[in-house]
Amino acid sequence: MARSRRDAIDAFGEELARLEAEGVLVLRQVERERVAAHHASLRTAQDESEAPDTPTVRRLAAGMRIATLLGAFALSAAYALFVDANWAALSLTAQLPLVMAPPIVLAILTGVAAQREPSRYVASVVATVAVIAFAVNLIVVGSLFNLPESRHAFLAVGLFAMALAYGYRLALVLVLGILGVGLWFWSLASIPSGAWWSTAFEQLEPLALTGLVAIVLSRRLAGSAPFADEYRVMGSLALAGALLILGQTANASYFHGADGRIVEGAYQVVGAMTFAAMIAVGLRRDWPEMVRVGTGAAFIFLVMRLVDWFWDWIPKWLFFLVIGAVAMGVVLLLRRLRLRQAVQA
Amino acid sequence: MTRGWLGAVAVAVIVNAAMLLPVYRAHNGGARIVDAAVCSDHLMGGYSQTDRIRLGLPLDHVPVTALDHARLVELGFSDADLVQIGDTTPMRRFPPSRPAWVRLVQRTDSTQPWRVAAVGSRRDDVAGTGMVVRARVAIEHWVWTPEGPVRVAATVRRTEPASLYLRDDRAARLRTLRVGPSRCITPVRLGNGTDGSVWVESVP
Repeated sequence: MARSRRDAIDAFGEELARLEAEGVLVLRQVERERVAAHHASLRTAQDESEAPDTPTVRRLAAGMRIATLLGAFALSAAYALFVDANWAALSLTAQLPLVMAPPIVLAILTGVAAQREPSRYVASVVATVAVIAFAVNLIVVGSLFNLPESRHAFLAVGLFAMALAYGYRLALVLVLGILGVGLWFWSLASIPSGAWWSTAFEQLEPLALTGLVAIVLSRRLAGSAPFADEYRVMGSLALAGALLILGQTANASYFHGADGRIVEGAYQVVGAMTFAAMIAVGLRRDWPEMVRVGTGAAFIFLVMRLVDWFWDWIPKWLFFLVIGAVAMGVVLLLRRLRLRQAVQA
Repeated sequence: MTRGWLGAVAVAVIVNAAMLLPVYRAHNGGARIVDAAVCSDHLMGGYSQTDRIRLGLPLDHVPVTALDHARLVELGFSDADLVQIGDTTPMRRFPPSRPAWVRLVQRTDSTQPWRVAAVGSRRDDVAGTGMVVRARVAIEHWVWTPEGPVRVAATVRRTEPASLYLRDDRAARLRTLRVGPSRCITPVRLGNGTDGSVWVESVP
């Protein structure tokens, strides 16, 4: 059961008690019992699948997430160093299974971990290591047989990660999947011009487009899994990052042959409007992750413009004073937007 | 949901098969064997015991005559890209490099680099003696001689792959080129598949 649903049930109980005490609403016994039974069944399902949700448990969950990341990193490093240390002593017939078997074994272990430990932290660690092992698998086989670099390696790793992420609802692994499929999608931009595939990464418009697609289609891409937030975060980061760089250098643009100042200026305008739109849409649709990315991008954008405009001709202490004032202005603006949002709610 | 791992395993198996089957076919389907000399300059990496050594395919540092105007247009370069060739002023950004097929023939001078004998957009365009491999063609700044000016030129930037895997025993034999009196060893046998793949077949 989602945390928001649990919170809603608790708030409903408290408000119902108040309304009954104030004589505004009194439910009939049969209605009260039906609601109570329904909520009890929801809570039972929660107890079976995960720990009860309290502030202490939430703090522990945050700690477990950090431990998950560190665990995934440490296990991946152990695997990579083991392969590196023993590589020279092995024949080709031993080298191939050493790199091809781990992703398969770890994918199966992800299923075992997800079944035995319902909170899925262990499954998340195992799946992350599986994805990294699969990426190592492709790199090493490519190196062993001198295969040309291929964009499809990104798609393969992305699909592998997504199979595990959707199969067991693992958000961290989904981020790797989005990254892989997103890079592949970005690399397709070289096809119309017939250029070498990796040259697509020299132009950032396709990255911005990829981010936009991830945001707009977030619900559809997530399907029945609770992954819309992950798509929006990754999409927002791609869109904001691309526009920030395009506003800074026309060399990263499709239009690099045109007047650089015009291209950069145009992207600065587009960027400013996009960051404002990200904050507004995020507030209206209650997408806090998009508000954070939009705010961060808008702040970085302002700092970059201030550097362009003022760095060379005002004293440094005054420059940082201006930056501080801008930061305070952003805080006040967001506070005002939040208050307005609260009043509307 | 309990079988979610099946999708991941299927991806891993299919992708590995898609990589290995063409390799198997190339090695067992009429590969061309090319005798080549390997000099110390051809070795990449291996400067410490833990640093793996690979065999590079260094290209001749002279203008590639096969890269004429018609060929560059065929590879997809635009007129705006081509008018910059010969220019000595700095370019803001090079045009994206383009995939091509090249035929390589080894030169027999002291450093024995690979000369690009033919360039084309299709494999059949470059058929002939030597090795036929994939490569990237670029228009970028180039210096033909140490004394010459930097100018914009069409070049074969690198082959795909740019270097070849060496098994440890072969790498150990080639590593001696760096310390011994003989700076070249011959014949190292390279395999060249009909799909443009290339590998080290044997080292004496």
